[in-house]
Amino acid sequence: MSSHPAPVTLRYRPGADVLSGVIHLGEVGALRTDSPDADTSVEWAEVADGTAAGHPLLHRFHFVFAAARFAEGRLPLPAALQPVVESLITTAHLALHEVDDPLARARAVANAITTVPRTQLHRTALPALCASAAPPPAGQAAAVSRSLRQVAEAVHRRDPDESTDHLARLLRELGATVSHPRGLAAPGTAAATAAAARATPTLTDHQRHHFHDALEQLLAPANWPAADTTLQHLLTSLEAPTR
Amino acid sequence: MTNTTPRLDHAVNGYIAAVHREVVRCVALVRHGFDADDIAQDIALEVARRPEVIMARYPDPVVYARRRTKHAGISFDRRERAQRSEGVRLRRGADGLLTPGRPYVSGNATGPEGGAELFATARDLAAEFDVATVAFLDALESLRRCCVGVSHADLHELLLVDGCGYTVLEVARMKGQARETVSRRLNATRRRIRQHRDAMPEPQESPA
Repeated sequence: MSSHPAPVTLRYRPGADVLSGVIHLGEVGALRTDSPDADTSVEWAEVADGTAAGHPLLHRFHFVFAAARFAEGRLPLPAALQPVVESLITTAHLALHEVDDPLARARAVANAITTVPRTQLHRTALPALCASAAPPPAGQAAAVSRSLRQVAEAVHRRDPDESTDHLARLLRELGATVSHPRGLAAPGTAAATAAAARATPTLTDHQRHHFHDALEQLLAPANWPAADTTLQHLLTSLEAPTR
Repeated sequence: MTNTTPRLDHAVNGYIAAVHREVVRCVALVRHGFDADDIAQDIALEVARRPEVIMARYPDPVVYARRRTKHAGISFDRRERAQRSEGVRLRRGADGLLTPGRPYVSGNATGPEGGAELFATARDLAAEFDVATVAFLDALESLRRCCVGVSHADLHELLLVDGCGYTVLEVARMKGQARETVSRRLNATRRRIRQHRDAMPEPQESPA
């Protein structure tokens, strides 16, 4: 296998917070697409020279809520790409700061070209992109999704303003994402929701704590029954009359 | 006209972003390269152009994104195929290299399948002056004979698409006609030029 660094094209959409990348490996053989979680899609490629048979290399990736995941240190990318991605995300968000026009925000895109050592592209070097978590217990995806929607409604009903609008939208998106198609964790959406909960001034510390616990539990489908319980506690707290 | 407020702007932007993300989630599993992002961008722009209509009909952006994604892939492929047939516009291949969209019927660039140029209408600066001039005049005469019976307007259209890199859609807009009309006329022009070229005798090798 060639030891030359592989060229990488990165594309970041700051409006939607989606990071995509294509690694130019030259001629490639069989491709395989994986989705370790609902917010991540990766494609592995067998390199065509045959010397790396059985060791597919990362060929393409999409990360939803990339900035939110990066801020929490949960963006599983090759180490060589991390600084480039950081500057790409930072500059893109700075450029879009105070732009409210929907068309301008939807069109905004930041591109970068860099290289990455091929040794950092092996599946073994990127375990977080290979792991496929066990599915949640039967019926849990729907139950968690319903609870998230209930919490979204409660948050919005309690103090309807911009910050709760944003939090409620993310909670609804998280609810829709974790229940489709077979119950996958959504670490990006969970990270963005956690950040929105921290930034919502009308929540109490106790409610923020519940939010944090529930969103942490949602990262592993095996813990979804516990997450559902936490969400129900949170719902009770949100629906309690304020003094 | 709707009076926008910061809160409404944020709602619209949040809706568009959620649509984009959900399309990426759905499409990234079945598409290669940046296709998922391109398709998501198309749908997001569609929402950004008429947010009130779409948001009123589909309050949940995820529902809209999943429903829209089913047809967006087909439209995307159709547009890609149309653009692939459009002139010298360069396209990025699977190997990351840029290649021309289709074989040329004019000009000096080699077609994507390789092989000789159709007409060497550019002077070869390295050749002897008299040889280069004769070759140039021969090529010009061949080109003229290939274009016999083709109107000036049709040739101009062909030059815009195959020579200057305009898309068929852009030329159609200039002419105020439908894309399909211009596309049919271009194909007829190309076909006629190829027929004339095929009917031409092979050039004689000049004695050394």
